[in-house]
Amino acid sequence: MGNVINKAVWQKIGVDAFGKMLDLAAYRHKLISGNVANSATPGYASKDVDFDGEMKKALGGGPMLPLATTDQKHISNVGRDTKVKVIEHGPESEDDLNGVDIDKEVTNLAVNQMNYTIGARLLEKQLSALRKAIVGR
Amino acid sequence: MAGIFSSIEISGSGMSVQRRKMNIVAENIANAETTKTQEGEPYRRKRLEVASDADRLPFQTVLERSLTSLTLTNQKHLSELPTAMGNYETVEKANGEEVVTEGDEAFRLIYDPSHPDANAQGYVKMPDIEIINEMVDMMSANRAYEANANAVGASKEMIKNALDI
Repeated sequence: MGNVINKAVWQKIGVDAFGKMLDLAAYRHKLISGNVANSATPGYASKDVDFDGEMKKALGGGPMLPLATTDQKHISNVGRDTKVKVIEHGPESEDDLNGVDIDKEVTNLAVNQMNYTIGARLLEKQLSALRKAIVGR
Repeated sequence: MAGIFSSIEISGSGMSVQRRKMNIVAENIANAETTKTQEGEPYRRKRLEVASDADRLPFQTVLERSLTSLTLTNQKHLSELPTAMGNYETVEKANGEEVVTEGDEAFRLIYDPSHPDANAQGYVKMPDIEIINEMVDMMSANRAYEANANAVGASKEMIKNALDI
């Protein structure tokens, strides 16, 4: 029963996908905040994630073939290739204090915030449409 | 607290570092002409050395890691059991440490025989503080503080959006 509802309702309106999007945007926001906080730290390497690439990876299920688990002690490989890859960017030359470009970070911050807002708003719309369908008006 | 709330904490660490920087700049400027401190020697210039500080792992993660210790000896081996935050690496905070200029390089000699702290040759040891440098430090700290404050604002906006779902 739960599986049917999951397939017919939640997957259809994409709760999972929006959840991933919000998760990833929140994590990217954390990375960017860390970069801004460390904008005066000597030798610090700025960190970022490839938002589009990670979203594709999360939705496509990853390149790994699923391993069958026929014994209780077997380890499943499903959901294991989901580790988000952090791209580090160190200082480019010896004159650079660190790898943080504050203009880039602030722009990324704004773009990422917009991504998060889009995800949250779309999910809200989907859920309110579902609610309308249930109530019938 | 994991997730988006910790990003406010990270920005907070940056703000606290910049505020301490401002305090130190103010102290340096205020003491630019101090020839005698409590130790009996002229004031020594202070500065803040900033370093990144890894976010401490939550207790749950450490416990799970120590319980499931699978070693990875081959690239194709699978990693340990996924944890709640297992898919994400931790983010580094900023942390500052106060450093005092050591040795006689901290002083510059000025000829003023009538000064009570003058030595036998008539030279007075003054703190080696350039007001211009301090001003530049102050401005950069100010701007960096603003950037961190903006990041906190963005975090708040995002949390508000999440609550609207």
